[in-house]
Amino acid sequence: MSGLVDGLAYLLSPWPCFFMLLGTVLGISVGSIPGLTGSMLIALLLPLTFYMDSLHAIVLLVSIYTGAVSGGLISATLLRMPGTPAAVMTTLDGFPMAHAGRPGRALGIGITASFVGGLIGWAFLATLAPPLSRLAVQFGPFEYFSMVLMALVLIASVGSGSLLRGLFSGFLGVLVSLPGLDQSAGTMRLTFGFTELTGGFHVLPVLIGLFAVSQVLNDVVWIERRVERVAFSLQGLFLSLHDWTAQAGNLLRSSLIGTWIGILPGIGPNVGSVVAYTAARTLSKTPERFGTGTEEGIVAAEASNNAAVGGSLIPLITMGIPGSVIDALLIGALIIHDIQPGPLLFINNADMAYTMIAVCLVSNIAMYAIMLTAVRPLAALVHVPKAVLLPIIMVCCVTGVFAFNNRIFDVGVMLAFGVVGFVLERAGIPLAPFVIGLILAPIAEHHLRSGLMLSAGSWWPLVTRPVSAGLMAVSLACLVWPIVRTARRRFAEPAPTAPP
Amino acid sequence: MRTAFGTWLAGAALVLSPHLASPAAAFPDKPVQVVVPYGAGGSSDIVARTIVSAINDMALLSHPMVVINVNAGAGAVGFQRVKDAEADGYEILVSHIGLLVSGAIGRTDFGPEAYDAIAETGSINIVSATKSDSRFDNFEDFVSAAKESAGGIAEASSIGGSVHLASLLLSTAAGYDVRIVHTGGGANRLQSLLGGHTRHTFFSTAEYLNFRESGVRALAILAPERHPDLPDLPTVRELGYDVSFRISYWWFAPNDTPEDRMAVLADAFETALADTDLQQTLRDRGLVPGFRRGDGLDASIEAIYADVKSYGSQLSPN
Repeated sequence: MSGLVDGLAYLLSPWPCFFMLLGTVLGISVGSIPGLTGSMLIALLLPLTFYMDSLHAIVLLVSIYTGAVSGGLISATLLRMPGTPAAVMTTLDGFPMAHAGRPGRALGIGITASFVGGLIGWAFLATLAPPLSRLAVQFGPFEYFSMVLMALVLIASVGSGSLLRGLFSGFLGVLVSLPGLDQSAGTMRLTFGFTELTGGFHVLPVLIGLFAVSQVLNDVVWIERRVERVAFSLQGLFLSLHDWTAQAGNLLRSSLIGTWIGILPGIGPNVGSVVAYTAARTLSKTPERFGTGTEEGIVAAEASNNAAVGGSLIPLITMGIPGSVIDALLIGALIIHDIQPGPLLFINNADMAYTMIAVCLVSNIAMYAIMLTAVRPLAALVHVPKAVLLPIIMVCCVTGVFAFNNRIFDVGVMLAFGVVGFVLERAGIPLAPFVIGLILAPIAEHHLRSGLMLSAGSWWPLVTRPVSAGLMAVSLACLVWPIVRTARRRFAEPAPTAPP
Repeated sequence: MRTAFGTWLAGAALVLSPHLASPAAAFPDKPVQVVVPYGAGGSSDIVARTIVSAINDMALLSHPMVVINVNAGAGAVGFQRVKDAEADGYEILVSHIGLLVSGAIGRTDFGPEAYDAIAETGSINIVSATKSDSRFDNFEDFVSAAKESAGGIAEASSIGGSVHLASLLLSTAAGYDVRIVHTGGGANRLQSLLGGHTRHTFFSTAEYLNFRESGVRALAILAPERHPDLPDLPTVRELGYDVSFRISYWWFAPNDTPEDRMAVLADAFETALADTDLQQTLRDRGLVPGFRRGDGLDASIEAIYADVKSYGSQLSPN
């Protein structure tokens, strides 16, 4: 514990404090700009940190991580463009609420949920890191698969609209995730002889296309239309006691889901928010309101993605296993500084271990303060003329997506999916299931095939391994429950009336 | 469209070339781009950046080298990009056995023959490893258990990756069989071992030195001699298996890059690798520094490629 106090004290000295604030602000900025992400900024800064003091470097990088995951909610809420893939679920309810004249409220809820999620994730990092990471390694391929399946079976129920349209959208998302290197066989599939396709469609250009570019197209098409000035108010920025009690369960559940998914190696904030959102929707008393600007949706998405930050640092610090893409970059940064993440970190570089834990807390607090202060100028963004805003956004999208992997192909993919997103929306097909299929299907496939190699082709472990069996049962329950509920309602109201 | 543009470019180059070929313009007169076909922060990226920053610090070229990550298709997109680049020495590739595997199993329709090798700058060894509390006390235990269970022991691997190749080489030489389970990169294999899902795997020495305190234990090293940081770890050759395997880092330029430019680049690598500071940095990252160029290097890559090809079908089991 004294190590943690030292770490916190260290962060209050001038240089670390400066780097912490710099990192948080930089992170929020790249997070809020569609196309630019935290992992991109960290990859760009990695060679630079070579010349920095190792503690300063890690303070800067972890702060960027915290800031970037939070910043995405701003553009997601105000412009319906996720600034970062982790904020994609926030667009679903954040934007409708902002559009309905309550941008302050939407931002306030998102920021507060981010803060609380970050705190809860951090609490686990600071107190239970070693036992939790031991538990996480017990999670084998079958457990991963059944967990991801649990989120996937809900694919159709996310977003409003018909079951069939949802399924179709999810199916498209799965299809898009298929081409490229078939990891489990080491060969290429569905590339049709195009070398560029061997890399498949990466999540970043696809998501930026589907949400940011399609929104730009949408705005351009309607640019002539007079924008009805929504009554702009920052009312509700701070949560009342009633808000807290109403959202307490959701906050806690979403943060726990986010933390746990963060701890699991290989998946991070993107998956965390998808799973927490689907869980919140399934357990909600008013699932039909999800996607129309419900507070629960924003809370679930934002609490979980921030909780995943603290969670994903747990296996990194205790075992040297990266919990997400950014964590892999952090490990790279540590190795460049000759610091070995893993169980010896607390012995050989205790100052480093406690600094990482401390900065995770302090940058979260800084994020909360900075974002709340910046809400007023940020919310004014909705009043910037579209003719000014849209070109800037497009430039950011194109440069960001190109810089991501130095490929013009990715820019083409982004533009193409911009058109796809535009068309799908016009056809009344929800985009949320698409995202879920795209993000979760590869994880499900990887772990299922890994598991089947392990069991020599037997499917039985899915139901004979207790954790896996439990998760499968939950999936089944989630599938059946909405049907039962509908049936019960019908029974209760003998003369069903069409919903308004 | 693309071909038409290419023809136009080639035509323009022909017209312009007499003016460009003035002897005063020494190579390089602009930055040389180094394509790392994998992600930032990965082991190839760290090795490439360490060497490139040493070359830049020592100002061994008249313009700095810059690193570009093109991380897609397990390297395939980066391989193709440099293969198709202008053969002028301004775009080069850093790679390893992954390029050979890619060609051998048809992930790309070319192998190392599509490039001219500039230099080899050190290599990394592979160790066989198990969980610390495993009942395999030594490598012999593992081999006899594997023989006995005939494919019953699950081994975490990365299909089509260098650890998979190492596994095939060793199991063929020692005459045992394991069940290959694809889990992916080093961290995933570590998790699989620690969680008890698989019982054996291979790590690069760099990975193992990072991971060993987390609860894994090496049984043997696939190297000609013992590793300075792991003096107690026997080589498989000492144990009687004639297998030697290492992942060397190679730098390639597109075919038909002018000899003098190849020489300028190779000289830069050679001078950098002679620097004891760089050697020490590479050792700290788990590498065995070493330098090779010219015919010896070509012959070595060719021999390894022939070896890899002979395992081609087993490397992509589906």
